[in-house]
Amino acid sequence: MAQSVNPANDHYNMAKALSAALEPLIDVCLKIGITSPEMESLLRVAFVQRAFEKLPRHANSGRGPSVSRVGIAAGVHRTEVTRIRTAGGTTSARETMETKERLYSKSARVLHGWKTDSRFTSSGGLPLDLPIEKNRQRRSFEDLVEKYAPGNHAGTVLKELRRRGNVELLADEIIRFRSSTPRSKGVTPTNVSQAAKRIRRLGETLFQNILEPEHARLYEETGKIKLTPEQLRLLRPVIERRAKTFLQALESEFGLPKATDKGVEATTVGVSVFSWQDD
Amino acid sequence: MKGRRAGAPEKVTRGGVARSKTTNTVREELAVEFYSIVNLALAQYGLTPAQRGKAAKRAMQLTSMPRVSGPVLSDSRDLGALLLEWSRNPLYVDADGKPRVLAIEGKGATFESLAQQFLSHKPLREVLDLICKSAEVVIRPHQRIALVGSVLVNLVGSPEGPLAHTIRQVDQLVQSTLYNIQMHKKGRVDGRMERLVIGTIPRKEFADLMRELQPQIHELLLSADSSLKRRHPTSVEELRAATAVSVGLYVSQENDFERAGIDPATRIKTAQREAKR
Repeated sequence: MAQSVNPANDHYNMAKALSAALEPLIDVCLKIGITSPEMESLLRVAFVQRAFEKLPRHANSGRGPSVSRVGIAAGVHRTEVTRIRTAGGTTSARETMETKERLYSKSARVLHGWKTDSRFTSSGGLPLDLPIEKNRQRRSFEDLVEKYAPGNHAGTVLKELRRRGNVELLADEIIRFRSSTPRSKGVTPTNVSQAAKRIRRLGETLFQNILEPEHARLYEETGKIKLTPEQLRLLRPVIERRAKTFLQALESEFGLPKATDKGVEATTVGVSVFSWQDD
Repeated sequence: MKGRRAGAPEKVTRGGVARSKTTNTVREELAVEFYSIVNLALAQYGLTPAQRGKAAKRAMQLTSMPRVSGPVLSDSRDLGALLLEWSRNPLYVDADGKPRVLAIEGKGATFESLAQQFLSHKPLREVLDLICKSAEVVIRPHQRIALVGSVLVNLVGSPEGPLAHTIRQVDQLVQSTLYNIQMHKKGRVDGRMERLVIGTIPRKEFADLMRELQPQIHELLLSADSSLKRRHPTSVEELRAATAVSVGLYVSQENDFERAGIDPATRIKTAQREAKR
């Protein structure tokens, strides 16, 4: 289990990889004179229309995804989704361009509130497990959605967050925060390339220490720890939490000031933490 | 109003002691400050001037510490131990290693079993009320209870809890400091751990700083708690030779720089020098 110092890197790297696919489209736009804002509006319309086609249908009724759900998946307000669906392709794109405004992803806002608002975090500063329905303490998933994505149905937001793997629905209708960024699953070229990059970093550090011990890089590890499956079940979340806290503290401590701010040549460094297991 | 604040001592200059003052005078002024902290805090805890006066009179006659705050907090301590057990005993945790949702009543891995283990002198309903008031738990349908947050026991809801908690914290801090002074006098360096960091930050960034520190402090205390638990006595004999150890961490905020003992001008100059580097 390897953890990058900055989880936002994953999103950035994926977006960067995707940008290569956009290059032929941009070439055409440049040729025929479509500007970036026009293209963005078209992209939004296409995004919404595609989301209606691709998002899973309701398991029982077989109905297509709701406007709210598409809105959350696309990061577009549901009134905008309705307008796009009603107006259709190009008309909608034009209108969107004319009324362009900055919209935030509802899912991201809900997750951000869950992580940072003391009403929804534990005394240890971590997201609380939240019961779905409102309660006396006003600490429920419905309260969270009401505060950070007003006007959206809690059930719809929950479906979207579960689909992305951000949350888990436990027994007794309790929702557990998993991660702000969905974990990359499957043997895809991006994931394999990411794993290879991490292996390379670890290898470089280990060999640097052998080849140039006078310029050794940090490498520390625990001794072997023998655990029963029960103990492992208890220890795993502790290790994960401690490692995350440690890495976040490092990021906060060394995040500022940036060397690049003063025009000094910067070196990129990172600290990775991983656990291993001999089965 | 010109001059000193009502009851305030003559100003002690920066660097410790005013040249004109004797050590004893400064000590007396420090004692006045100490008493003021206690007196004004007691007022904020809701004690009337008459109650405070009576308590001060009684306290002046004592030669040893009364034992009141400890017993007041005993249920809260047991509740804390219950929460810790719920979050750490394999019987009570789920596949993720997090506390399971428990049936309130019944035998086996239930809340009733935990209540009997740690607060056997109280009826189950009373333990349930106590935990709902002071811990991050929620009642679920079908007579079940979930621990949704950390193992903190919040004392704010009880009438005497916060004052008793303050007394324990002050007492522990004072005892550690006095012990360290004794060790220093004997020329020994193996005192009790006592560290403080202090800095000045923009007030608007305090909440952000808290968000940054909260998980670090929480994890450090959980780790300390694991170390304590590993050494917990397992027999009556061991218990006889045992001692109570506490590790406390808190964050404070003070807008009065003079009271905090900080000269902001010096800090600004340092920051400016660092920025130029």
